[in-house]
Amino acid sequence: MWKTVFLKEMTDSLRDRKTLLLTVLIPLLTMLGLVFFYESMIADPGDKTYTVAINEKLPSDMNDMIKEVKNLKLETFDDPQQAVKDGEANAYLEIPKDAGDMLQHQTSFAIKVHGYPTDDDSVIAVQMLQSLLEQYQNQVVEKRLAQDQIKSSVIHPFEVQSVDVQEGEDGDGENGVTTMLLSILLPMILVTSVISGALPAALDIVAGEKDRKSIEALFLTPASRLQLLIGKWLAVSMFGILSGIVAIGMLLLSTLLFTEKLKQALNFGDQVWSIIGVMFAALIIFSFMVSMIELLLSVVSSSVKEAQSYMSMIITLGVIPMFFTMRAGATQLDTYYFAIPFLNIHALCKQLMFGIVDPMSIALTLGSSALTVMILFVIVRRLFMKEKWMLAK
Amino acid sequence: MITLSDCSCWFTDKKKVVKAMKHMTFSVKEGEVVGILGENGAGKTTLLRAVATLLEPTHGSVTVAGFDTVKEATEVKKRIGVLFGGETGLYDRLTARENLEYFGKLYGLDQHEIKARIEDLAKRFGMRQYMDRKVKGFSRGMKQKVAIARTLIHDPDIILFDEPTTGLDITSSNIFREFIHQLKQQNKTILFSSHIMEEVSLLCDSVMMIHQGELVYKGTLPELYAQEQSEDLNYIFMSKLARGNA
Repeated sequence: MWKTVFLKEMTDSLRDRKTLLLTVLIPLLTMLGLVFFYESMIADPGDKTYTVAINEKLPSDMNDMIKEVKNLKLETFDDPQQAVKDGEANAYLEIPKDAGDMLQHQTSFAIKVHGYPTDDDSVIAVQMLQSLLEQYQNQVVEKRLAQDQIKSSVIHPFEVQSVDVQEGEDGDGENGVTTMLLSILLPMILVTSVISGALPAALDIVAGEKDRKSIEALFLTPASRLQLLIGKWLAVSMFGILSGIVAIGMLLLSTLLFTEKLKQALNFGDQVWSIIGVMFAALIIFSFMVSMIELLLSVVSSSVKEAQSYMSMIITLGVIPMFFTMRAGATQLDTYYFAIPFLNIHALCKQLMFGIVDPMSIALTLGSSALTVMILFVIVRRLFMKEKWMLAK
Repeated sequence: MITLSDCSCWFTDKKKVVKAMKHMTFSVKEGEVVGILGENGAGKTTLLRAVATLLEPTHGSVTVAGFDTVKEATEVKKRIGVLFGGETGLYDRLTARENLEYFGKLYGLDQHEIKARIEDLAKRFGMRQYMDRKVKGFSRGMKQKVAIARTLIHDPDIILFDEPTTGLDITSSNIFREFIHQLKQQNKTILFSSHIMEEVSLLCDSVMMIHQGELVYKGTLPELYAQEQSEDLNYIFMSKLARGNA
């Protein structure tokens, strides 16, 4: 009997534009938007040119050094500060008029770099200038030390280098950044798409039936309530799974097709199929759990409107764990991360994105989620049997 | 066919006990058409819900076709068809045929039986031309016909209607009355509540009057007319209520 209910609910929900929109279209568009946003976040400045406003002539060697950087263009303005405010320049390099003389006479002076901290282009231009000026300062110091026949190691006793363990000594660490971004993005997308994909069906399937009073007609048939509940639950879960597959598929496809940097993080080598398999298993069990929670809220609500107000908290519940896993490294996630529902899916996805397939983490995540599903099922079944909750008041 | 023995239904609403049905005892014979009359809140819907297995009596028992509505609810459900008034409870995104097929399957009918029943009901209610259209665009009357057809999909022996003509236009109400006549000829047992005295006097063999959860009268219409020395059901109903209040 549950198959009859399942097929009817699938047909009914698939004819609902709202369900299709939330299950397929929204995840598709969100994915594309997020992938492009993250790619732009980690992309090189590329050919983009940042204008640096000046009003005084720079010392010649400083001028040459800045000119060598293809992304920076020096431009003289009468009022450089205003030029930055008006958006005509990205940063303003304020330097004393007689800076050249002061350098020659070894007199200390201040250089100010003006910018807008809220404007991305301005921040990049300021950072580039600061880095260049630091290099220039080192060059000046080294020249002065050489003149006095002092080794540069006197003031630079050591050099600090950061090495990415995963990348090896030759790596530039860029792949680690992209993997980290994807390890945050992927679970967030999986969680939100499953929650929002299953939502319209969960609302309609129980609270909607109460609104329409069709639940009474349904309960008057000899079909057992357990069978009705199983059919409905599986239909809601199916929408969660479909939405998750669409979202993750779109994320992977758009990353592989339209990105350069993010794509590098998707090189899993021989582990690719085990990672996909585990992720699929996690998606299924997570969908079963989310569907049960959404059905529970739908059961305790007397109308769709009331159910909608409760549902918003599930999205929050799904996203909050992201802030906990963000702070921990993929190899430093404690056991409890995998034992707590919602937190476990974020933690597991993070490990998988870093190419870690740990049987213990997988078993804990799937096991704790399955246990939660069972507990929720018992609760929902009990409520589903009671007229007090199920029949319109 | 239907027997209530000292049946009471009480609810708790905002910590207050509401006695919606008080110690009702009566029986309805096979093939009898019984009209339930009562003011709003008198307990008509509670009575129908108790017979339909949707409410568990607080006290006493209800049997339908010899089966207890609490202990043998599934057997009772197989033998009754219920239509609650006001809402038709159809699925808007499904066609009329899909709605009927779904309920046919839930009642355990096989594909062949479902097809035959749908053809018969579509012909009987003049629904053939819109059987494959989605219910969403249907008029109130069309929806009511599909809802009645759904109630009868499993060919039940006992049919319960709660204010079935509420909100229907004259044509749809007449269709419903004609349909009750047809069911009566098929020897179906019918229990229906109504506010419309004319409808009750026209269709019913017997009448029940309920006031504040209590059964104040149950008998045939000729008996009632003779007892009250009047054939004006509206007048009789009002005087019964006045006596009940006194």
